[in-house]
Amino acid sequence: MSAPPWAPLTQARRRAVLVVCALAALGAAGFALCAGPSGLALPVGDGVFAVRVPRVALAALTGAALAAAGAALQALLRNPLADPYVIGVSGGAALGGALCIGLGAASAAWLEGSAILGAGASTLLLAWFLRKERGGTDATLLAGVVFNAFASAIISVLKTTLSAEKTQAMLFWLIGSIDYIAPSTLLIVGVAVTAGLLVLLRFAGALELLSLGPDEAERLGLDTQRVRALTYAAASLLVGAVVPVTGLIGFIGLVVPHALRLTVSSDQRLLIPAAALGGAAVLLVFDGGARLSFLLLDTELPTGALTALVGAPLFAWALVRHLGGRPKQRAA
Amino acid sequence: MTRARPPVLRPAVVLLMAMGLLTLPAGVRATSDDQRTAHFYKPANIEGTHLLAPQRIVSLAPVVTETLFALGAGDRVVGVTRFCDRPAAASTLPKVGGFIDPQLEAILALKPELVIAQPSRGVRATLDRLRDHGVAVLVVFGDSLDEVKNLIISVGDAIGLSDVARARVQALDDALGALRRPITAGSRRVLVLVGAKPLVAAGPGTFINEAIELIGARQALRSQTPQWPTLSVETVGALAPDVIVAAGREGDASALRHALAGLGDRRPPIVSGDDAFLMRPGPSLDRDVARLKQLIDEATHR
Repeated sequence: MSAPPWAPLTQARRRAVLVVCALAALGAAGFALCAGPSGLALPVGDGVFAVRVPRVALAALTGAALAAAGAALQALLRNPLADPYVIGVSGGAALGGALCIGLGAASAAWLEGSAILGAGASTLLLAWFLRKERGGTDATLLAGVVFNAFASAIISVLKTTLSAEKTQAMLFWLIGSIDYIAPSTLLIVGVAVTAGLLVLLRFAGALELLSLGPDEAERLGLDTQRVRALTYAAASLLVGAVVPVTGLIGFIGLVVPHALRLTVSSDQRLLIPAAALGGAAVLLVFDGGARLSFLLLDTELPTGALTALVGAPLFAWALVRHLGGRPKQRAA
Repeated sequence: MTRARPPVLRPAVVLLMAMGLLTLPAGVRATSDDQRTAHFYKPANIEGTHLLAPQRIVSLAPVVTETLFALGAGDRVVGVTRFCDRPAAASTLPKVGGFIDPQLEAILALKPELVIAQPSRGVRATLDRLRDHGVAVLVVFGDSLDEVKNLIISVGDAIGLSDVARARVQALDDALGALRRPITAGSRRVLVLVGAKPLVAAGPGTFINEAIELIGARQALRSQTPQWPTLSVETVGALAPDVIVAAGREGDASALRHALAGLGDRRPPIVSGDDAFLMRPGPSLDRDVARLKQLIDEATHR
């Protein structure tokens, strides 16, 4: 959907939007830092800060990674419903990680590496499957459904053959949750997410050109193959970096870019950084809510369950709206 | 021409989200009030309330396997699940599937006279089919100390070893009675974790909680906590138990130490037994409870 005609994308507007998104992210981080199993309070005393900060950082990195990857995939596939979870990229990462767990090599580095490879394999498959498509909801979603079904089948086979302890870990991982991780693991995730985001920001302008259509973009001198390859790689890196430590957290990559596209702009030069900041803010709020759920329920709800609870109905609404006959809107 | 948006879409989305939110507390606090007594289903051609002395028994639960061997009927067990590894002799027996996914054909191929199982969704249909094929079925429960005793007696009655079973239960009662201590203001606060990824605790209403209170310790979780709550690292730190007990194997304690490393100096001592410690309440439950008391005493230097 294009930006409203009375609000052209100027440098000033871009700066203003990014400042608002950054403030939202900071506010959400503040909320997340104060949200604990005992209620809202400053995280001081008894080592709470040392445990909560890595988790809050992980939530921010995960939200930024998934939302930015979602925005990029939507631009690449020219489909506003593309989401790492829906189209199978997260499933590929999960499959890679599940195979790693099943083989017993569950160190952080192995898990990260296999998940990134899994995400990369699923995006390559998707790109190959859609190579002749010029964007289209049915083909993209169908490809994602098929791949997710395949990944789920493999994971189900693993579940029936693994020990009860590994099965439980895998099941919870498939739901998606965020908790404390060691600083060394957080560093690996942070470096990978930063690298992926930098690549996307570098090619945001190229993605905006690509949104005109591949033929038009090539006529304007864009090396579309290179842009596609690097963007797919960056999206795979982003998803593969976070899935091993958080499991499958869905719909952030769909809902955040979609909401920003409707309210701010569909220009990739603004959408991608705004999505990163917005995704971080949204997931920080959800994760804080998950911690607060302990106060009410005496058990902590998985963050992935909360995002699915809110995101799935919103996805259904977006899908029906998209298929419901509104004027065709470009994904970027 | 633009098609009109369905008028019910927005309310439908809101309704779906509301339904999802409303199910959260119900799902978390769901408890069953069903009467939990053993059920024996015998084929129509069998006289009396039980088989006299079945010689071909299939066990569909590790605790049932352990009970059969403890009662001296191990030589009559012809099939077990792939998780049945206590005693060691059980692991060499033919396998008939898992705890929740037993294979009907594998069971029937062993020509059992009696199949003993614990209830689960995956087992129900298989048990019905077994009954249709003329196999006697005994369903037992074992999620509390009383249920474990009833399990031993029910199994003993079903295989013609009632006296042996009752003697075993009496011995179990005597052993547990010797371990019983009152809960006082100075009692240690104990948190038992049954999983490291995720951190799942044994809460009130579980047999583990009964064991904790029997030996005079206190549960670290609140009384209204669900039976198996999921915790975060921070929550474990906030609960600040005097000791954390890892149910399961020694490797589980290592996994917990790694998972809770973020607590630094605040991490309480983490202890574990061996074998399937506290995971299979059965005829050797007194041994697990005694080990639990010993571990807690050693960890808290009493």
